[in-house]
Amino acid sequence: MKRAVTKSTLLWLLVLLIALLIPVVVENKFYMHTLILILFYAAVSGSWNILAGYAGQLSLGHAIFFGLGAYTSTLLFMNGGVSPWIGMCAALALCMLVGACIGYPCFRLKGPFFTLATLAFSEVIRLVASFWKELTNGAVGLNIPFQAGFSNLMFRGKEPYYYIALGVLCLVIAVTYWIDRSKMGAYLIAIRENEEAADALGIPITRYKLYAVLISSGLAGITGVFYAQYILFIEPEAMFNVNFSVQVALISIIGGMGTVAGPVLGAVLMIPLNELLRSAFSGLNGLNFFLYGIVLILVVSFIPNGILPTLRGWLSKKRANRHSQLTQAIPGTQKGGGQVDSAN
Amino acid sequence: MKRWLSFLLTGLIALTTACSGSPAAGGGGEKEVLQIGALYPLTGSSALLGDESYRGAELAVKLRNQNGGVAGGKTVELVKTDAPDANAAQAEADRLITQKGVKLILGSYSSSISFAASEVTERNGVLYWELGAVSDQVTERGYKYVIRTNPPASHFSKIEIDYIKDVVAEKLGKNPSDLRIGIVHEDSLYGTTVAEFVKKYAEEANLKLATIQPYNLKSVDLSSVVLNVKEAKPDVLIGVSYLNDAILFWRQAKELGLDVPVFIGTGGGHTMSDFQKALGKDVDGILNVDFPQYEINKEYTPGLDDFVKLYKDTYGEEPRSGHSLANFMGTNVLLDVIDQVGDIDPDKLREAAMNYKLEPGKSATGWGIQFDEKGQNKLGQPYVHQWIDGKLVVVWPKGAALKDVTLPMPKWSERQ
Repeated sequence: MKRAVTKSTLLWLLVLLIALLIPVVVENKFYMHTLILILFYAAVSGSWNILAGYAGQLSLGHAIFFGLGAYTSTLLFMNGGVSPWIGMCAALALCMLVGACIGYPCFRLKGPFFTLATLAFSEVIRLVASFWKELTNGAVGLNIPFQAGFSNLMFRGKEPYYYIALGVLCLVIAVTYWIDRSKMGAYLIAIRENEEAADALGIPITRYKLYAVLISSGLAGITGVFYAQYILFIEPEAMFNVNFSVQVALISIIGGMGTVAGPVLGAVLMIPLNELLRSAFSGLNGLNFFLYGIVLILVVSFIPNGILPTLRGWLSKKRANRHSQLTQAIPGTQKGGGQVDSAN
Repeated sequence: MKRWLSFLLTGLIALTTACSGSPAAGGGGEKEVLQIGALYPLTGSSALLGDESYRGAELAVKLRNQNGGVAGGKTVELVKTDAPDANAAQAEADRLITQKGVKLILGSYSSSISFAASEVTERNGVLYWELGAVSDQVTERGYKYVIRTNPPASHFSKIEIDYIKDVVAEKLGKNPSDLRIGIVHEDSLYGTTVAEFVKKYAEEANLKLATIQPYNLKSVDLSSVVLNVKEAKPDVLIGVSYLNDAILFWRQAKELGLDVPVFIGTGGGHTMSDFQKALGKDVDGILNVDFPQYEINKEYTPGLDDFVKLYKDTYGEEPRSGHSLANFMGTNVLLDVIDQVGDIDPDKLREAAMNYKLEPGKSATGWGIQFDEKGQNKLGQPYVHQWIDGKLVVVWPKGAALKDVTLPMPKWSERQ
């Protein structure tokens, strides 16, 4: 067991090292933009994964926290000149508060009803943002004036955005990793698998669901701040969009829900595919969505558990095969099988 | 089975990667070809009119190339890209600039796409030539490399109020300050922007605002809006709607017997031929302020007939709206400017554009050209149209008008 941990830690460090070095090699702005989007979507989807993948509360309203984060820092910056870095903290606090307010009453609802409630909340917040014109400038949206500088979280080049997105993603992964390895992760998974049984075992269900929603919404809020500072234009239609919530969920579902690396894998596969298809088929309107849809259908129907768990299952099956072949080839060594396995 | 699938998936991804690689590689080389990026929403909810807008730009370039190109025989090539939302607009602008090396991007029909894309072009010193997005903010941000040929939303509202003051009041035999104005508008970006400006200009002109009724564009019942308007009894009702809601409003206005002497639509749904198809004769008499459509005084719009002919030859159908015409006109101006400069250099193009002058009545839309220091064209204006016998005919301003306006609208009880 200890061996396996160090192995995966090494793999994570290697990926991180490559990620840190990428901007040194890649200069093309379009590729940089795609890379930033990958990091960004992996982070949002990672925050969603904590609530949906671990705690099993399938939310389709994550755009609420994402949009709320974006609006919080932007309004603070435009009206009060508050640095988006501080805005990020404010967004974190506000999103956690709203997450708790939405989550607490909704946790009584199970399965599709919880999902529907989150959908409804996201529509309500979109309408509030569209109609509270004095505060949000309504449907017209907010244009953040471009003033480059570290304290303003705005940069001319793409590299600083890349590293900030990477930082946010690392935070999300670290939190997920911690949950995965801690008692909390086990509790959440127990709640996901069978709420009655978890209750019978004495797990404080509502409290742990609340923890999950607090962490999840807070992290999503931070990604929202990043997005606003990157695109520099936010509007209710784009920020509180149901499609965005669905896309965020899809990335985790495809990569593998309830795993640390699933959202990252999903984003690495799906985001470039989306961007490539669009630029490849710009001559034929809509063909990109057609192909994207086909890929989604194929993945969901053939690998419903997501790519990562399927890949793991496949690998361990292969290992088990080799193991059984090995043990069959040398009769009388069945007892040593475990050692062979761990050596592999 | 699963192995088979993974091969298929990787094959698909490899294929698309290969496809995207090949056109990018063909970029540089020949000096005679000048590349311009074309950024429009070609998928998603704005696809129909985004595509219609793109056709205008495409035809202007085609026509120019047929007639010998620009700057002594250089041909112009549009690099078409799809930007269904703000995020995609930035990605595509980045791609055009870095992969294709374009120094000039035109577009874009939708204001949010224009906002997002021009953030990227401004930072890269690339010129953004806007042909159709109407939000005032596009040029109000004071960006150096943004130029817009079409009139912004505030001009639509200004024309409506001017028209009410100058023409409607007299036709109704009333003093302008006695007129009661109502507004019905959908509550997204477009409707809100126009309505705010109508309110502002109406107050400046001392017109009375009887009622303002916002509604959601996806509503399936507008009877409360119709009844509120009926209650307020406006002399002039200004509407800002997309297609489905415009049709719904008029059906319910007929059912509930809402008679307004004058109705002025603001482009969008009130312009489209589908609006007329859905409501038949009931549209007759409705006024509409929009980009120039096709029933117009042809002497005021030289080149319009050629455009319509070229459009039919190329796409095998009538133009679907005036968006293509406005984009056609703006692209022609751009090509003239490129012709003067001889190359695509954003700074020189901007300078040449600032010195470019065209009187009204000399272009395919009848618009003149004179850019202010923010890059906004001062001499482009929307026209007042009226639905007459199922056609949208220009009735104001005088130079462009084909027919005289008939006001007030007949009451429902007086219609056949």
